[in-house]
Amino acid sequence: MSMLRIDDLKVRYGAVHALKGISLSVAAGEIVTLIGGNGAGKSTLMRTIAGLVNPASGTISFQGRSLNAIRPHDCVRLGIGHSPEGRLVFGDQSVRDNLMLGAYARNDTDGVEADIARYFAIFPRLAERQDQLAGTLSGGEQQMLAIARALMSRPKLLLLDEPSLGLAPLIVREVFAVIRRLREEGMTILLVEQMANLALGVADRAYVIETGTITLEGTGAELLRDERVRSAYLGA
Amino acid sequence: MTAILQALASGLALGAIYGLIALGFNITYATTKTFNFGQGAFLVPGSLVGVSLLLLAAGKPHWGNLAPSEMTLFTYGLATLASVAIVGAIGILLYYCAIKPFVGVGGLNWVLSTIGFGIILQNTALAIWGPASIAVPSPLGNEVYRIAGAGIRPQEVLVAVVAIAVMVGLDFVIRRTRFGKALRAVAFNPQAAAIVGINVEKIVIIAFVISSALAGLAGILIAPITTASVFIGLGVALKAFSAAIVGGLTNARGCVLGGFLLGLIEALVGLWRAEMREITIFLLIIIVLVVRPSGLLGARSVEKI
Amino acid sequence: MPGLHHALGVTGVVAALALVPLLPLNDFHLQILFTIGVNYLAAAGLNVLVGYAGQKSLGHAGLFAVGAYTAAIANVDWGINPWLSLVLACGFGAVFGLVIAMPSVRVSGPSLAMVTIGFGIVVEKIVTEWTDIFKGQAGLYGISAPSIFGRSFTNLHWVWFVGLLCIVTHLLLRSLLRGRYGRAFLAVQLAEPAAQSVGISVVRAKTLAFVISAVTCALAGAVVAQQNQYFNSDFITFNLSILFLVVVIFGGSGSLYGPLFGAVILTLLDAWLARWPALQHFTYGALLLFSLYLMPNGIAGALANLVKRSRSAQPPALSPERSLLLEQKRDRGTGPLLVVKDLYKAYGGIVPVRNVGFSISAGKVHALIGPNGAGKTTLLNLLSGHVAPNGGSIRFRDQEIAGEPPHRIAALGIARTFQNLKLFGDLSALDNVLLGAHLHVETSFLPSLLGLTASRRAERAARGQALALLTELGLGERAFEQAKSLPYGLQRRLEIARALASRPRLLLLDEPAAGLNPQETHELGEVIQRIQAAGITVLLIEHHMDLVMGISDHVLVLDYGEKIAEGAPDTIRQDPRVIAAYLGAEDETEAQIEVVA
Repeated sequence: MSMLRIDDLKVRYGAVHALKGISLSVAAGEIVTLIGGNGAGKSTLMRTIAGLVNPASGTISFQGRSLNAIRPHDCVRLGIGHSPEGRLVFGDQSVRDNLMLGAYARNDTDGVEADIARYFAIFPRLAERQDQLAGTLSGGEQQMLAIARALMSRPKLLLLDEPSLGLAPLIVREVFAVIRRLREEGMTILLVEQMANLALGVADRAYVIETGTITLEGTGAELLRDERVRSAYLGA
Repeated sequence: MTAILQALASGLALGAIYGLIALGFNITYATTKTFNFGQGAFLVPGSLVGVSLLLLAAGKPHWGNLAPSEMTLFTYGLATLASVAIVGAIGILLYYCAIKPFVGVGGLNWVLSTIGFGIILQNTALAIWGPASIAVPSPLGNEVYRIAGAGIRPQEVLVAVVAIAVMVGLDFVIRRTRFGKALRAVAFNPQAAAIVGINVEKIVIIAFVISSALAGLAGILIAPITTASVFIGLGVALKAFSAAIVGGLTNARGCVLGGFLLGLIEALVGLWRAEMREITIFLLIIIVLVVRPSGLLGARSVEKI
Repeated sequence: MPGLHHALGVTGVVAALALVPLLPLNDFHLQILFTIGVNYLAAAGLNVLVGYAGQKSLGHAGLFAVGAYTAAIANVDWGINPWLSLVLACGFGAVFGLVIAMPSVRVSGPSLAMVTIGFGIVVEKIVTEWTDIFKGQAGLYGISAPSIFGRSFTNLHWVWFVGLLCIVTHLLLRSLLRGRYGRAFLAVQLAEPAAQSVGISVVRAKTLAFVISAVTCALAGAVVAQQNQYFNSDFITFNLSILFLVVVIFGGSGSLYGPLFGAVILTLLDAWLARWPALQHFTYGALLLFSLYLMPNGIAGALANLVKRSRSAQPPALSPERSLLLEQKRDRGTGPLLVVKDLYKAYGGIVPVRNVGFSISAGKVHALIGPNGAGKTTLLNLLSGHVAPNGGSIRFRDQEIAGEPPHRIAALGIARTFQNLKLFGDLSALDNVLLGAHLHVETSFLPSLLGLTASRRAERAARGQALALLTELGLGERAFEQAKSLPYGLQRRLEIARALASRPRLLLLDEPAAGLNPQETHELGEVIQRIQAAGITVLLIEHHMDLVMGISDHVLVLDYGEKIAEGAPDTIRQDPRVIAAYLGAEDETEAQIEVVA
């Protein structure tokens, strides 16, 4: 039983066809990654799932419910957390307030405090800087904050869009350590990532997306060995 | 000297009015990059609705003159609440008619649509109340307070106190409450706000309600000073707009600061030569903007290339 | 509108004007025709400012006042002939256009609205309050109308005269806006940094647009004062400024014919509804509120959509000339073209460029690499003038250029592309390239305004060359498509074409392969090599190491704002500091701490 199911999804920006018929699925407890070049449509797909873009045709369903015409804040209530490309933390508010806002769709104040404490434990750097404005954090810290903020909504599915973007390699390793830890805790994750080798390393399954269509799919290990993937995305 | 004190007092009251309206510009600009260019027309129902309700309550027709005895702090307070509620509700209409179709489209179409909305509102008021002005007694009476020899009108004190209380309250709401944080999140980046579960459109509508309600409040506060009429709005709203721009449209405290600066300058220049008020103010504004294009406290926007 | 249709249209208007005396029109009707003309005059110039240069003004009643009072005072107080007063009014209009442009070009958005509103109100208050000169509400009486052969203008003459002024204004603006100047205005509106990068002075373009709008508004004011033979301060209100803007935007800003539609329809509507003042105001309000929702680009935009649906646009026939650009042999290995020393730029505590020095040899391909956030794009912006340095020197062909404005640097021969594409999206690919060649279209203001043959010839030659360049880069087929509708890879290539059209000696490319697929990246490499073969020096910021290593002669490595290595590609590949910067060495956290401190 898949948690997220997408069938023949098409998305248009004006005259430009960003997605030309994508089908994929994510089962509970899985990490699925999408790899592909710049402009292939990965982020568009993520934004469509999160309700920021509405599809032209095709279907998206999450736990059996259609997401086709959903608005983004309702997506969060259904259990989809989104750590967007470029992080988009609220730069003029404190780290703690960013996390509080992450729980905006929830009503339980006690649970929120407990979750903040929990993520401060996972991300000790955020705890150190909890009263600092998010805009003053380093890129890596902002990425951690964006992930923690998405988790604050207690999502069933986490959308992680380009978590390595603009980060130094050492920091990227830290981010991926966090992703592994989330997997161990049973979180379902859809991961979009430029660094294909890292993404395929943590993923159970993967899709290759090129100019708006899916060209390959398989387990992470299969795609890591695939000749086409190796030459196009792994620089081998 | 007493003249200066007197001017300072009325400048503060006037500045508080400008500050209130400017704050309304700030709230909607921060969330949508638009604001109501026809805000002047919103002062009109603000003052007239309240006054008419009091007239009707006193068993008179909606258009007439209130006896000072019919105006107490209590009735004025009720009238103010009614004005604020009704003008706030008009803000919802404004959003759906004049703002929503143009948000995020860019260009100047929202400027014209809000001006158009204002024209319709003003002419509706004209059809209801006619062109003549209504004298409105102050709930505190018209007996002038003497402070250090300077005569200060009680309504000016009331205006300043109420406006400052509202501004401080709003500042607290925006900085400390859950709603305020959501509002700032929308202002910072609407998409980021949406993905944490904030209903962006709801927040934006509330912003327009607040903005309109502030204009309504300004209308009823200023009525005992200027009289209530269909034509009071434009001049006041233009100065409030100037206050917002000079203080920094993106900064709430800047807008309030701009309001007080403008009110004080206007009152002080008026002491010297009344006819030079507008000329001085607008020349000063142009100079300030040349030196600081985003206003005194506004964030400097740097376009990333 | 093609030339023939246009000629027919103008002839039609002339014929209609000639037939006016045969129609059963009374003075009221003539007055309406006159008002249409006046509104058109004011709006036609304002359209250049609002629709083309993108500067929204809410204070043009002030300029209308300048014209009206100049014409009135010159005639009444100074005894100057009405014809000369008209000329004088235009002259004063131009001067005040400059005055209002000076603060306006420095601000944008709501601040620009404020400056223009402020200007309008200051003028309004001056003419109301300074009664010694302007007579305030009492007004100036006895303004003489112009006369021909000793006969004063009748109402019919006024309609003819204003009609003539409108036609002349239209012809002049049409000739100006269809060429180099119209393109430059649009470029400033659509993408300022890109306009600067092709050598357009944004300040000068905006100022020119202000002056043009000021002259036509002043002319409108002057004819109103003369026709009325009376003028007072009540004419000059904030609402008049709004009216002019509405005529432009309702009619369709940025379209040559928009102001015409706006003037005709709004004036007629106004006259028709004048009998019911209440209804008039409601209609006006409703028009403002809803018409832009239904017709976002005004009447002209709505009509253009209809026409587009009924016939597909045929691109005008054009013969590509041989492109001069990729053939010229320039700067073939002759020493340093650009020398940078101790270049420094800080934003608050962040220092994206810290005392960087290097030199670029003529005729070579240089690459600038480094991790994200290393300061590469800032360095490029410093070289192109889009960002001013805090210290250090940049010498280009032995000339100091540090801190020079971008359009001047572009004129010296440095062209660039942008990491996040900055094409003029609404314009065709051809127009984008023509804008690249802006400095090489050999015509100046007056010939363009008057549509002289030399100017048209220069335009035709430039179009031929631009088309040739597009063809050479494989974009010839799509020359007439809107830039923003091209596929992403072609947009990237179009940006390179635009930069090449400025005939640079040094071409700066900011991540030209970003977003390209492997095939497109490969083709890009070939294009860069052809550019180098044509003798143009290249400095390239890029992440695709295959591309960088494959085509560069020399590589510079930047990390945390400092140059950490430079040399031949093979040397760079082996350099331990480079490997550390890219792959993350153990001392990296220290490096970060250093930046924060």
